[in-house]
Amino acid sequence: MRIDYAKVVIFLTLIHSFCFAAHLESLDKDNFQDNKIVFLNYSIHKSAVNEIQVVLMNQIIVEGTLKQTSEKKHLNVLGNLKCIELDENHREINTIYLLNPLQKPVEYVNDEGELAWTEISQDESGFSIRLQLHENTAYIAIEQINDPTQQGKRIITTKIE
Amino acid sequence: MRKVTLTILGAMLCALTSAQTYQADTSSYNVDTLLYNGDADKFINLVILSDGYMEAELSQFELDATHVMNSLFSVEPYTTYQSYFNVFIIKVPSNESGANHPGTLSCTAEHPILEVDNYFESTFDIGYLHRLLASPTPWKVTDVLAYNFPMYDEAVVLVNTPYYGGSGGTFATLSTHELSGDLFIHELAHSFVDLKDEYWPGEVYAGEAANMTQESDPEIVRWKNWVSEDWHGVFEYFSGAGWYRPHNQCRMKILSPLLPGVPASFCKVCREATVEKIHSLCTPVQEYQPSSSDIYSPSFPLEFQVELIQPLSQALHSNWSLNGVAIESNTASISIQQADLNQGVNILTFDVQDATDMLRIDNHEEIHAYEISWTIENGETEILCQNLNFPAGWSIFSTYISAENMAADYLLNPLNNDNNLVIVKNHMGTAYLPSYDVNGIGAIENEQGYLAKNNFTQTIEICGESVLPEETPISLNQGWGMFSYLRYEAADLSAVFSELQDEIIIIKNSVGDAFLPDWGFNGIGDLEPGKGYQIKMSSPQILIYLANDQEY
Repeated sequence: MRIDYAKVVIFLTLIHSFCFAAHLESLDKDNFQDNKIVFLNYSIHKSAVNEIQVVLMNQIIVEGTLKQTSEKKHLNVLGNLKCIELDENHREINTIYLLNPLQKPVEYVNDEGELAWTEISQDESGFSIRLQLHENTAYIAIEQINDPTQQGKRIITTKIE
Repeated sequence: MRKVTLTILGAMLCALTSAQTYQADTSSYNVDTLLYNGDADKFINLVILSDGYMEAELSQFELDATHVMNSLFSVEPYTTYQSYFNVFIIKVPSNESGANHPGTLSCTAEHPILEVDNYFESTFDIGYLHRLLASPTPWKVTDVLAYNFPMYDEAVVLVNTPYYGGSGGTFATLSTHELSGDLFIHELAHSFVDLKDEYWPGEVYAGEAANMTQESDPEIVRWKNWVSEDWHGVFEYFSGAGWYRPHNQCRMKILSPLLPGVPASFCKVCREATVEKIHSLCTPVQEYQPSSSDIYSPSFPLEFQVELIQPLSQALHSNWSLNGVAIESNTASISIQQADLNQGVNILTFDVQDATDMLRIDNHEEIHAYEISWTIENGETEILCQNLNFPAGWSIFSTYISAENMAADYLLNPLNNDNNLVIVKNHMGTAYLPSYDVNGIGAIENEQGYLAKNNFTQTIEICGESVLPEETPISLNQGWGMFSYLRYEAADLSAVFSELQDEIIIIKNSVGDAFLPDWGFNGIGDLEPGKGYQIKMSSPQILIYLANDQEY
């Protein structure tokens, strides 16, 4: 069947706000807990004064090994999020970067049948994180990046349990 | 199903409001296998989840998912590398069939407004974009995956709706429309391989990638090895863009076929990047036997076997070599006779590389070479066992056995029964504390003596290769230290140290007996196997014992 692209508009979101999609780097398995994967679901919304608030929805820890984990340093830009693994003394162990879940890049096909991009802004959304836990990870913190060279504002810290 | 008046963003808000009191679904759903090539921790796992399929429709889901899988594996390089993938389906039943369509756009003539109670709440019209089909509750997808297949590498939601649509992102979503498979393959290239679009996506979305660069020189561009072949080159996205792509008709540029009946394909640069990605997740060598890399006292013939994941092209080329000399090619097993080996240590190596014509990166031979090697001890090596006696209280021990695992916590583990072993210390004062599960010592060294404290007397047996005393020099540092005794039989301490005694201040055994050369006094008598000794030197020296077949 041949599709009439003049009538069809196909939109494809690329919601790269998750920690485990692209720019993957190999795991050094020696530094990880014994086959523990953590899944974290968060909701995120922007207040009337443009403050970002993040709420933990749930946390799941299961047995398993990930082949790779993501770091995505190229996402260390203004407005995005940092996901930081912390040890018991709140020392940083590992950092990964997330696209701002409230600014979703969208890929679509226009009337000429060609792919194109746009961005959907939202005041409320959700995002998930999947990580192979490092052996000393005690907390996961989420920061908003206001200056890529500085520590950002910590929005939420989740105890891993 | 009822007509709806909610906009999709409104639906997302409702979903998030309910998320504040969110209860994860911990259910176990049926996980079925569509394609199985091997263990999930070794192969690339694609997981397809159902949405909008009622319980009675899950058999149809399996058929639809099989169609998606077949679509993927009909496209190169996935066709060739299908053997590197597993494909699983998670059968998540929905209360109602289909996908939501709020109808927020003028598209209701061909696609009626629908409200469907489907599990992941998959819906069209997200962001007021009609064909954008996705789940506004991706955390539900996360939960189902976490509880049912947490080791997925890529996950996709297949929605039971015949209307054209889909989306990419962490969890690609697609409908059962026959062309949705093309969208899925395009999105998979983004999320799985990290490929960029080869149409101009806009400055914000441009970036260096396998198939996108700001380098315009065909001599040094990262895909230089493909330039001039099959219409590959260095093409500026548009005049003045400053960004370049390798091809003008790749799947990363267009979804539709150029000609009717001629499916779109990935350009060779994207194929190469995909193969690279596949190899980074899944090595061609899956299993090998023997699994231990050190082989002592072998019985012959010695059999070696390697299990490879051959791509469809059968392009894996392998070689066996013994002590650096090639002996076999392109065979998965080999038999070694004793006559093939040298006396002593032999190294058998198996190396394999993917010689596919899809890979042309520089240094491909090194980068894509995978090697396994075994050390074979032939002839002179003999496994011996030594009894070490640990009296109650403090003692000093040493061993002439080099076991396969010399870690203090492993070697001395038999002493941990009934909490017998209290502490072991080396000459630096670093400790192994079994009750705290702390091994600061690391491996027991044959050259060293170690202080141990036990609650009661116990003898343990240590087995392995015997070190040769005449080939094991022992450094005696200035000041205090501890040393081992490496011979099978006891020997007179005075005779052993006859050439060094001018530099010795004192030697003590574990019960405090002393050797004082300046006084011509030997209260220790003989050095004994299994014992260690404290020593104080006036200058650093090297102690080398005589061979076991020689006498002091």
